[in-house]
Amino acid sequence: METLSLGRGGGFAGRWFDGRHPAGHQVRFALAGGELRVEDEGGAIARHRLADVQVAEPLQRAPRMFSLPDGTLLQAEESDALAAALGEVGVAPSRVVRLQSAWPASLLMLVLLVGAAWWLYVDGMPMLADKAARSLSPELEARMGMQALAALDRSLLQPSKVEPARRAEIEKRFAAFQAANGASAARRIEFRGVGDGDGINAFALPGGVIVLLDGMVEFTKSDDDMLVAVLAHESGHQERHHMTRSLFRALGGVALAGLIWGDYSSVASNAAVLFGQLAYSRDDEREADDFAIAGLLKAGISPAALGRLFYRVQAKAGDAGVPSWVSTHPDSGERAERAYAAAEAGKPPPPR
Amino acid sequence: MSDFQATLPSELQVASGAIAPPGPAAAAPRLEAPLRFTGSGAEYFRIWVVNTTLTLLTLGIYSAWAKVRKASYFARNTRLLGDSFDFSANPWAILRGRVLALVLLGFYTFAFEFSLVVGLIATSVIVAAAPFLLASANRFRLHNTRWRGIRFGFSASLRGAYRAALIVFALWVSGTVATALGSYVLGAWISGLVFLLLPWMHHRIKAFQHRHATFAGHGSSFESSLGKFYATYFFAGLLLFAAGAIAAALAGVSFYWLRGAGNAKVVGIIVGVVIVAIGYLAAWPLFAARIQRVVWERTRLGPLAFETRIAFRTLFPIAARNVAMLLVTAGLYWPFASIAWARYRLECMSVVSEAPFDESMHAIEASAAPSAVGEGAADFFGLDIGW
Repeated sequence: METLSLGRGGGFAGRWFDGRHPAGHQVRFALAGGELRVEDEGGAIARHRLADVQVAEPLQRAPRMFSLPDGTLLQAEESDALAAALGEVGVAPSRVVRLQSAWPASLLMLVLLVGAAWWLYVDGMPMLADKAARSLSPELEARMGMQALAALDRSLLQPSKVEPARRAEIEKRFAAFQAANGASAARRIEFRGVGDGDGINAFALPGGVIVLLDGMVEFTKSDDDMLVAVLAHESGHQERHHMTRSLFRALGGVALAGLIWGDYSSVASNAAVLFGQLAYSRDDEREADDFAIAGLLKAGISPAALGRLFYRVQAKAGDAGVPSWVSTHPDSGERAERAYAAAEAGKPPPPR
Repeated sequence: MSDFQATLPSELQVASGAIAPPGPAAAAPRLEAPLRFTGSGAEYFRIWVVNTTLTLLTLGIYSAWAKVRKASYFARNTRLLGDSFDFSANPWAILRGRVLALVLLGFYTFAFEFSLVVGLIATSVIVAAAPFLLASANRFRLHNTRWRGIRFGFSASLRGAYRAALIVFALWVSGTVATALGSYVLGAWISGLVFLLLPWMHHRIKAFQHRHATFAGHGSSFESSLGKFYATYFFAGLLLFAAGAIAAALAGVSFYWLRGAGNAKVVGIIVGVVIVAIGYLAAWPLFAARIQRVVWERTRLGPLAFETRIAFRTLFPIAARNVAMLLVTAGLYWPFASIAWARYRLECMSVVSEAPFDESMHAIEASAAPSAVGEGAADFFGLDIGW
């Protein structure tokens, strides 16, 4: 045992733990000559080369921990004097810690954070999702679509009640539209019904399947061009891989929100993703509209058919429940106008 | 599965050291040592902003280091009898765990889209791995947490983990599996049944966690309280149901008043959504407060017991303020909200002992040499998957 060299008030006050008992000893310690010396009233307790001591990084004003090589632990309150003493003996804080400890640096990081999050959300992730959706093999995409259709058949969908002759007629008109647009042969219509209610709906599944519900066939019965417009719109979703893209975007959204708020709760991050999805799906609808307008023109059908569809659907929404086809398709009026304008001009609308 | 995962991390946190230390035991002259929390929102904001920015810029890789810094900040600012907890962990182990979790989650997300067989295989793999991962995450957190220089531990064996948790995870996915296998109706029935078993499942996981924590040679124990779990779920559910009923009624009324007006439907929907949101805002602190009380009042660690005075009427204003401020600041209030929530939940807790603390602490002799099996398991389990 060495004699007490730090003296009362010398060095720093600390708490020392022997690693075996959950009891603490008041000690004083000093950092000098490449060594950490720990002493109590009775004399020296420990003396270690600083190189062998693990000094926990500072975290604002939280206490510092020194793990000593013999398994014991020294705990000390954080202070400027302690930080300075550690700096003098070469235990400097890391760059990350320096960023955390100064307000100007933190505010700079905040600007960077908001910028990076914004860019990723608006440009980065949609771009990645598009790339991923396009690079998915057609076989895999078709398989996903079949799987989804099988699942829907087991749960919500029922066999269609549309007459075979009527089906053949619709398929013929769709084939003509397809031929005029040089579209993929994998694209096809699946006729289905739903239990009760109108089911005025049609939707696209990954890999070419367009599910056309009986309610929509009935709704457009007086106006075949209008039904082709529905199918053209759904073809637009197929053409741009919107289904797989929105799947990838949703995953990207979960990942991004999880990175920002995931440290505590997934509720906040899930809500953020949900709102994002709504915005994305509106853009998808507009993209599908533009595809449908251009495609109808190529097939020699006036895009006014699409405009009529929107107005009919909107009128229907006024007196009864909202038909499902519009509920995810906002701004019917604006979209109808766009279709009418294209019909009048005889050419597709300029890109947005 | 995903919802369950959403609740797990915070559960693990409670079991792990940020809150969990022992103090002395309860009897005639009860001595209480309250937990104190010295973290501040302004301090943690700077840690959070650096953590989050670097995590984003490294596409998530830094999140493992961020997690260590965050856990250290909370642990070192939590004090019992004047001394801090400490958390230190190898970020690479956390990164490994996260990569594994992402692979499993991605596999699970896409598997059913790909084919039924692949989906079932993915589900089985995840259910089979889940008890191991649960035990592993608990062990990781506790083993890396110290108080007064002594590590906590988690003593569950692999067999014990499977006996306790396999059934819970299997039940959790049973509805999905039944639906996938063919019957929507059967799936719905099974999901309903699982819903009724939810408190039982939650209780089982909690009991597993609170019966296997160790500190200084003492193991923790937990007295079953299934009835209280069911009561808690019932009251929180009742609140949500009431909010739903009021929302439906008010939406109907406003729709009736405004009939003819073009925006009647929109107003009705907004009124409904706001009421339901308020219901959730009340149900969530009610649930958190009651579960914390039920669990900790029945947990002991050797000669030490725990007391928690957490109450809904104090927790609710904190939750309400947190949510309001998060909305106003577009999420930037997050670190302040985390601190306020943690401070209240921690400072409600105290450790209770019969003997004077200094005496009982001195009497506790750390188990001199942890068994070789335990240490081997530390390497084997050294994988963190909790977020």
